[in-house]
Amino acid sequence: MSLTLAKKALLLLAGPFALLLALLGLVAGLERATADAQHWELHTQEVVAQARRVATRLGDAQGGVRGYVVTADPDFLAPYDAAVTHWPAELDELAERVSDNPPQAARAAELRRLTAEYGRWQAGTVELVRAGNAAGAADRIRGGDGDRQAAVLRAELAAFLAEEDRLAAGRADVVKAARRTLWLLLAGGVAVAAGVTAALGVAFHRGVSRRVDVLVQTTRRLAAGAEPPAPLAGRDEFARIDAAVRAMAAELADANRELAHKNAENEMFVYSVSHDLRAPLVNLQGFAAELDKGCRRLAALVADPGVPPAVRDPAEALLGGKMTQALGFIRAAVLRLSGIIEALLRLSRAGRVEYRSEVVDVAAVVARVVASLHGTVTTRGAAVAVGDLPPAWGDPTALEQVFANLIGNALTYLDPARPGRVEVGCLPETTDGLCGYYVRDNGLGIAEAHRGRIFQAFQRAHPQVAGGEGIGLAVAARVVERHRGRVWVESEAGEGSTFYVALPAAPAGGG
Amino acid sequence: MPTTELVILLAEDDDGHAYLIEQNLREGGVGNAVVRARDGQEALDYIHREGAFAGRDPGGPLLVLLDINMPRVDGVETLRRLKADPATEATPVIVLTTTDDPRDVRRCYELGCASYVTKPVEYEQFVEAVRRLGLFLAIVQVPREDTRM
Repeated sequence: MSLTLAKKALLLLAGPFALLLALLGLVAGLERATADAQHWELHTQEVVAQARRVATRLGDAQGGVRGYVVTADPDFLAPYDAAVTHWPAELDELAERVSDNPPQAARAAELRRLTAEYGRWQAGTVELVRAGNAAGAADRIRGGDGDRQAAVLRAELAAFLAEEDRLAAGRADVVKAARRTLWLLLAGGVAVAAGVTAALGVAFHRGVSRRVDVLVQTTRRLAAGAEPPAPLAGRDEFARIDAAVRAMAAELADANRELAHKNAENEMFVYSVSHDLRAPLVNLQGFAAELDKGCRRLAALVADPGVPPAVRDPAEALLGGKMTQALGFIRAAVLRLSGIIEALLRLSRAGRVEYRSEVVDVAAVVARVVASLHGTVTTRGAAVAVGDLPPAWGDPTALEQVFANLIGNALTYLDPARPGRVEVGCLPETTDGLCGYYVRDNGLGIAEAHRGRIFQAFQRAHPQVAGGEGIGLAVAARVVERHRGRVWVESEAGEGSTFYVALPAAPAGGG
Repeated sequence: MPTTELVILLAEDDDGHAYLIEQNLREGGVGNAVVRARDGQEALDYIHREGAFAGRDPGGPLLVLLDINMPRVDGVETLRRLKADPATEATPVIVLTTTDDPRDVRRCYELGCASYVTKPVEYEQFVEAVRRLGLFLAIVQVPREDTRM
């Protein structure tokens, strides 16, 4: 998928949102249907109430008329009067309410006719009582016409109510079903929305994290100078970052090549200069030796008894004194210069020599170094303790040189005032793929003023203690630097020093 | 009558070195004639009897002591040309130089030098090296030049 990250994110948001909108539409439609059904249910209830009122009035009217027949007390007529007065309007309203339902409307019309008929029949009974013929009225009631009419009316009312009840039940069912559907829709909708969101999220995450993985791998491999994976396809943000990272790596590689080239040039320059300086030194040394030889021959000549003392004595003084001394100075100076040139050559070689990279058994390297320094250790009466040393990744010869320089220095600059102790070990943790080794001594230590320059060539903290050109640590630093490692020192003057060397850890299971 | 004794051709641009080498060869008991060439070109001219050495007497068989850092034609190039030419490839060449760069050493052996000797700055060692070279020269078998002509 070559959509941009922003578009993917938008899709992730918009997908579920659209689903929710659709769900909302459905819910709204259903809600309207429910409201409708409820309205109709209410309507039915009103109709039923109305019909029941009609029925109640019927019973009341019947009872009232009978009471009047028995007692002739006009008070009993109140329910009958109310029924006759209200029925027409109430039945009109009922008819109006069920006008949408033709069978019920027909029943309403029939009810109206029946109530009117029954009203008239009751009116006849009431007239008889008013006329003073209570017995006639009672006979009329006994005749059963009124009851038959009332029964018909009741049956009709019951039928009407039954139909309304049926309708009401149906409408309640609709509402109930609508409620259920609503809940189902809501629950289902939420579930679907959650599912879709999760699925899109997973797809989004996969798409993004896969590309991020490729990007991370590309960056790592470029940093390690290895061949990166194929460029990310598409035009999204990751593809752009990928392209930018590659461009930056290419620029860095160019700069690195240039630096390496410059460095090689510099080292080549140092090399050829030191080299060219050697040839004249051979002459200086050679001819100083020739002069020395000449002096000795001359001394032998003037020692001849035939040479007059006036010549011999000053000649011998000259030969044995000034000339020997001068030659001595010349030869010492040449040797010193030769040492410096040798050191320069070593330093430039540390930078130029080709490394082979392999797993280096540092423990074995250190053991070899300590064994080779056995003589020094014994003369100094020092104790050397070597801890566990994990393997490193690099050039065995170069790393041996580093440890030889560090351990050699530790032994050389011990404090004669106390028993020497040199400890070689490693730091417990690997950081940035580097394993930290250290060489600790309880020697002279390095004054703060010197500490900063200790790894520079020709810088010596204790020139009075031992000879040398001050190149060992510079070479060690150069070697470690070429291994992409680090070297540093912690020291207290008069307490001792700890030199740390961080080297690439050997790849796990490598060999 | 042409002499058949081994002639040492010393290709060395540094006069001092040439002097010291010859001196110490002599002190080491080497009595052979030593011819000095100041650079690789002169050495090649001498070997091929060309240039300044056109028409030189055909001396005895040659052994070349070759410095590396020389003007015009350097030692490595001289060695390469000698070993590339069937007429001169059998001539033994000993490289005697201040260079101890392992790459130069390897290159010279690859090109076919018989031995590679580094001139030490320390004079006693230098003397020792040249003397040992003298001992080596005393036993070295050199094909006679006239048998190859």
